[in-house]
Amino acid sequence: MEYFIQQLINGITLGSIYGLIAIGYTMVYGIIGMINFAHGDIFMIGAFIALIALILFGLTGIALPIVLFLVLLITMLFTACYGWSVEKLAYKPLRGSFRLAPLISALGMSIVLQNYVQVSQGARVKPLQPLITGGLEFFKDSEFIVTVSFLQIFIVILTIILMSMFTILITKTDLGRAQRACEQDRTMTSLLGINVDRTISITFILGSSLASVAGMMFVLYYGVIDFYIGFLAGVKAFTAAVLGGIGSLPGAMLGGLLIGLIETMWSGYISIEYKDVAAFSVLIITLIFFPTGFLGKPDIEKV
Amino acid sequence: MNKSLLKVDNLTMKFGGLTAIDNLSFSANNNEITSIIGPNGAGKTTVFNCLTGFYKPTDGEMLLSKDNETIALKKFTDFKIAQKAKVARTFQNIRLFPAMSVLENLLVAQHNELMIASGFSIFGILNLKRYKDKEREAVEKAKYWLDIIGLTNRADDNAGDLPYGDQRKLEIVRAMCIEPKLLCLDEPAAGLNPKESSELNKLLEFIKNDKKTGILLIEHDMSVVMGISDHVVVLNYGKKIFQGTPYETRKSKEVIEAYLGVDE
Repeated sequence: MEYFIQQLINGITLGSIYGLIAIGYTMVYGIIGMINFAHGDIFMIGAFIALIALILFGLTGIALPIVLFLVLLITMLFTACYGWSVEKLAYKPLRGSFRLAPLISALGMSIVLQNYVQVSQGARVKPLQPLITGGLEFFKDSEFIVTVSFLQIFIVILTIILMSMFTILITKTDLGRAQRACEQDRTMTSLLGINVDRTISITFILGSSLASVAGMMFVLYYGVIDFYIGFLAGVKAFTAAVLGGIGSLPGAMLGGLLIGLIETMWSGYISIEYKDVAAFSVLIITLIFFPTGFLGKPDIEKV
Repeated sequence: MNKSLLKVDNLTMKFGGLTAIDNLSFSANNNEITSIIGPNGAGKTTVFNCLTGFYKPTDGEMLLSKDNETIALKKFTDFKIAQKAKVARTFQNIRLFPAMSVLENLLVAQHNELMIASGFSIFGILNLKRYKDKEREAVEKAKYWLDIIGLTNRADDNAGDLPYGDQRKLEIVRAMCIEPKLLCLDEPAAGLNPKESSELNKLLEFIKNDKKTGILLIEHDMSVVMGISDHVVVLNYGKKIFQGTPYETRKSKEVIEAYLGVDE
């Protein structure tokens, strides 16, 4: 039982990271109907920027909470610039082209970003000392002590804050309304005087900044990163978005959580080597029974 | 106030070898309904597509009088047609946002004002007073229009769940929420039953009389055209064959020939 609770906590933490990345996939899919395969690499860039910022601020000797806050802002800002540029360079010129064109462009962009980081930062793994240490211990009398580290609490709380802000943004504000309008009918949205291109750009900026927060969490949680982390994390988050129902925001959050839990439970009880196999198998099985994911809306074509 | 609103001058639109609009000139006035009629393929919708920036005309001018200045519609494309030139349009098929509520559909049309007031939504998330006031204003405006079309009690339902006739009316008032100078309606009465179509007539007459808006109407339903138009422009094969009042149009030999053919 204690062991299960421990895995549950680990799973929720991992699920938070996947969930934050998955939102970017699901939003971009919602608004321009394209899978942004470079999104995982945006996450990786976010991790690198966070690492650099953490080291820089770590040298100044400011108190840790302030450092974390500043790093968070800087990471979001810089990564958002990357996300925005990727959209401008690789996707916007292809808007109105056939469906596969931006998809290929996204794959290309993914490779470009990976190699760019490999060349500029080197191919070796980059370590970071644990910054947030310590934690709370439960069930101290039993054989297995459940530990909830402060870092895990930090990750989960930050995720909850960001996701609630984001939900308000999409459901309550005019920007969210414009985004939902673009999802449903881009031509009509523009005929109502809304700058559709700008709305799409903002979507990329928002998705990238959320992924960058996930990147920062990843650095803090695992302590090592390299230029290749974006691929697997990206594919997992994409799986999460599909599992929850691509295009659906609560779906992305749910999917992220599920993938995180499946992975940790499988590693904890069955075999750590096959955790990725487990995650993807669950995807395939789910899609057989729920072709649109758990919360996705079926796309009914009217005849 | 200057009554003339739109002046289309020698408009020509060619697609390769096909001339869809051939040297078309007509004008439309403020607070009037100008109908464009003609047999299928006459180029009516193409005129709308030129006016709203979907096509770049091969030749000719489209001049809109707006606040004592004259602007060339050719220079506006995309979202600027609605935002800057204040031209709104609807399509032959219904293009509401079906998964949004009726109220939200009307708020989307007021996006630009809200976006500025909310500081790109930053104040919106924080729910500051400045944004709240502006949003209340926008909701008031939406309610005003919902009252007129009698859909106030369905404001929170999804637009896609409304009956067809109500969706048509909602689409027109959504276009009115951007406060257009020129409202282009492409077959608004298509698929409406006689009762709905007479309600539509009332709505259009209200807009024409109470708002500073000129209406350009493409319509096949002659009860609508003859009932509410001030002017009728008749097109055939991209050329204007007649222009006049509804009464004159009904009597015109050219129009009857275009619709029914010539006796051999």
